[in-house]
Amino acid sequence: MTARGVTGLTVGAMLWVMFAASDLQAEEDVFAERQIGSRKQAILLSALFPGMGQLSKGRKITGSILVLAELSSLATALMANENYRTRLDNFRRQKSEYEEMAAGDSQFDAAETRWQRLQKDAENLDNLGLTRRVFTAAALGIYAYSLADLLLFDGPKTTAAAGWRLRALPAIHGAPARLVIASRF
Amino acid sequence: MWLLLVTLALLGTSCGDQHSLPAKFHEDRVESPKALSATYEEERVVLQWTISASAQILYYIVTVAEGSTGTEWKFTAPSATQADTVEFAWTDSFYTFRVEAVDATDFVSESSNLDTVFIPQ
Repeated sequence: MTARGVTGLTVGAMLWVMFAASDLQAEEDVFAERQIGSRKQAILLSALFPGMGQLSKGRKITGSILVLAELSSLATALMANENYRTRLDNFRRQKSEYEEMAAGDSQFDAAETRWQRLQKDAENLDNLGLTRRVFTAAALGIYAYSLADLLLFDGPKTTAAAGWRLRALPAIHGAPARLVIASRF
Repeated sequence: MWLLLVTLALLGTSCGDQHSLPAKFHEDRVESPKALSATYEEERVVLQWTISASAQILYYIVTVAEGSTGTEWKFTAPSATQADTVEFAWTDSFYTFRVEAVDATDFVSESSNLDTVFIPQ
């Protein structure tokens, strides 16, 4: 093969690569638009419930962990809240009974027993209040993390960010199917 | 979702003062009799105790408990004294005594120490 033939082949190959790259760019623009669309949808879903956005983007493990963590935090916080309210009613009733004892016609032993029960109930209420606060904070944290994860760390990937890519292109307009290595700068 | 979280957060921050303990009144209300001693003399039991002169006592309650059955009998003693004599149909047993003070509002104080005597018949 002559030098002229080699040069011709090289130019031909370069032109072919450029055409292939332009095809690829068009495809990736559509892909990026789809990603932006699905990203907004994912953020909306995560705003509705943490982890749903990650699940919608196919990040099943992260999404599942976030959904489960949020559900368990909320369930624990709600149960602690319900328990707190029930015990608080009981505490208030016993407190008013103890205060009525101060009016007279009562005994030291009964007042002491009631006082010790009030102290124990107050400790339990403290613990339940703490549980409620901690798990509410956890639920809020998971909610914020789920959104931040999508907003900050899961942006649309550009082809530049993707680096070199090997793509298989189908036969188009009589051109044979081919493998293309392409990159955008 | 937001409403639920915000509601929980608000509840979580507002639960601090909802279960404060009431003022403890019963420890300083009425002083309890101290140093109770019971002595068996001539078919009677003589009780003696001490209490501060400033205590506002309406009367005392003397409780006698029979040792084997635990059956209790209560008597009253006037506030002016710090002693009492119990006459009773004693049986051959141990008897335990305790004294409580009662104030003008009918609040009964903490019990005194217990003292036990054996009464032979």
